[in-house]
Amino acid sequence: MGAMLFAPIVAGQSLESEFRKEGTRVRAAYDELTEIFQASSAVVYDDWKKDGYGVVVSSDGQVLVKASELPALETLSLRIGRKKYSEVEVLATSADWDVSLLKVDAEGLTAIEFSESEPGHGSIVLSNGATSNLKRRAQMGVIAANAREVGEGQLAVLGIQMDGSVEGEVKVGGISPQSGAKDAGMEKGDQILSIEGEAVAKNEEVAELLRGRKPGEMIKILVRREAKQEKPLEVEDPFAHLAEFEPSFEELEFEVELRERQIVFPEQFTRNDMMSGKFSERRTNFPRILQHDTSLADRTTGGPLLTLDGKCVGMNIAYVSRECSYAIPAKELQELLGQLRAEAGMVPAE
Amino acid sequence: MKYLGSLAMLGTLFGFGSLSVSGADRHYFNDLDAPESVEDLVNIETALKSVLPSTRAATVCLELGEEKGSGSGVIVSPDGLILTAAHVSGGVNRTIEAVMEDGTRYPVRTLGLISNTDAAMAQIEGEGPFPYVEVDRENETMLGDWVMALGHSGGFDLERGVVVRLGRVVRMAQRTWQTDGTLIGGDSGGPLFDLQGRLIGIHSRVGKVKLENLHVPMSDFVENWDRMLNEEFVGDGPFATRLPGYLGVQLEKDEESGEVSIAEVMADEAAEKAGLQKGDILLKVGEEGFEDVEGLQGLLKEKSEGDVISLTYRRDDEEQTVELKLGGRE
Repeated sequence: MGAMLFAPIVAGQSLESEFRKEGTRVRAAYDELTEIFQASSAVVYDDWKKDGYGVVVSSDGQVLVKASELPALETLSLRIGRKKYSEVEVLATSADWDVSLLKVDAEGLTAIEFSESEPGHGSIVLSNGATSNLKRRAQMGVIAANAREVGEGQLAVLGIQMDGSVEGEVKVGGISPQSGAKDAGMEKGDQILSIEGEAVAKNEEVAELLRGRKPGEMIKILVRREAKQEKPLEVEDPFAHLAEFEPSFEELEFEVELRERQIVFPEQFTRNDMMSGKFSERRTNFPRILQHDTSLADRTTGGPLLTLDGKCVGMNIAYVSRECSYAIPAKELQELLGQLRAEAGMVPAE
Repeated sequence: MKYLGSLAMLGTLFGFGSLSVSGADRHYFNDLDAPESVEDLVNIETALKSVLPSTRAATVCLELGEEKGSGSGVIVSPDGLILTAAHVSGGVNRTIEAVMEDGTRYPVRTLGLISNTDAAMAQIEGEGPFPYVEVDRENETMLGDWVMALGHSGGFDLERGVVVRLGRVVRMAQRTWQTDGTLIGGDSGGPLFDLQGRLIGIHSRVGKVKLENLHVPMSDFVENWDRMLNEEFVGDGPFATRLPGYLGVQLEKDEESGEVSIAEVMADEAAEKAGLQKGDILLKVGEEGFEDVEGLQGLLKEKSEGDVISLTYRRDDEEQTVELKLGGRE
């Protein structure tokens, strides 16, 4: 045997793609369960573009979705089964769980069936996979680790570097191109007067006001900005403009989206982040999650997580990295659903 | 079934002789092209869950020290022998740390490695017995078999525990297997198991595509077992590179006699292990003599970590020659 091992390297023997874990032949084994995704998951659209999934939780069109990835209402529509619904109402939202409860005008839908028990380490689970307009698909993974809270990993940031040169002023020294501050229209040199109505005079006060907030939250910021001066066309007296120069300021209010630190400052990406492609913007700070190894991607979250008995054990809430996705466990999801319904005035609050 | 035919040929080439395609303890689902029903998947799940607790317990996180990151490894004997990847252990006779799933930490000394295939061994220095797994020495895994990859993805996390991924063996070359269970940094050196809980490979590297995950098959470990146990540094990379040879002594030159002697012996290094003492007068490396400290250092500089040299020295007017294996120093 020893001599044989020194034989020329044998060309690799390869399994054809249809037999691989995500191949068509393996998918065929759980084809009957894709019917559940067909009936009880929703596809979220931003105009014509597919933008994630949702969990159908009532026959009259209540759907849970990932809040921070929800498109603007004007362009949002949902497809359930084969039917597309473009009138969508947001009933309530939980920032803690990053979940919104939506409502479309429907009847006779099949609500997802929640499981009584939580799947253990190693249980096979199914999630929404690539989908066509007419047909949902599922992809397979396993529960990969212990259910747990995922907390303070990354902080929610505005994406501003502070200029500390002037005592008693909070000034913007730089803005990250991937930040909510940039998208909202803030600029270098802006002086921040208040955040959510609270006056700020020191950089530390900004940090204090942002503490505990989550990526995806919108923050109101009032800034003082120097108004742009129009240059005089002709200058007769070369010193005249100095005398006339008196900067005028304007106050502007911005609504800035908080984003995860690593999205805003990609230079802080870890090697593992680089290996993972585009991951969910909001992937930290969940009170409790199930971890599974299904290869989801950015904007393929929001759908139900099923075990092989066809019951819903959770809702996919984040694609974290190439080997890791998170789902909100069914028990917590049902409690959350109760809260969101209460908030929307649908059932009496306790 | 095309691939089974070619695999039988592979068996012959490797000289396993009568490769038993359906061994008595082989799971039936491994002999299906693909699972045919939900029931088949339930059976895969049941098999995986039944071997998960014991395999998890034997999977360790290997911490390499400040800013050097971490990898994974797996214990294969009750007294704490670990298999891992060469690019994780990094070299021979180094001290790293193992973290068990419950957070218990043990010092670990790296043993030998195969630098061109990414195989390595290490030893826990602590009181056993440790939880351990069985090595598949018969190389019974076949293309398409359902397997599970374990590891401390991204580093140790007490709350999360060991991370498991399910996949199939999708490519088999002689010294590398590919599976479609997704790995990430921190999994390197971790174990690949068949669904009977036997160790069949060690995670080595990943491709850009998520489903491209590469492992060193157990056959490479089995073939090189004794060499690794004997702390050999085999091959010239690319997964580990040898450090310059290190004797572990401070030298001084006697101004009158011109002889080079040992002023200090460093603990746990090559010289001490070979029994050299303070005051020993060094005469020759192999057959070559030297004039001064620099001359001796020049001779040692040509050697690398793991090289065996013979060193002639004089103690109490008696000349002796000792064989010793050089350590390495960064």
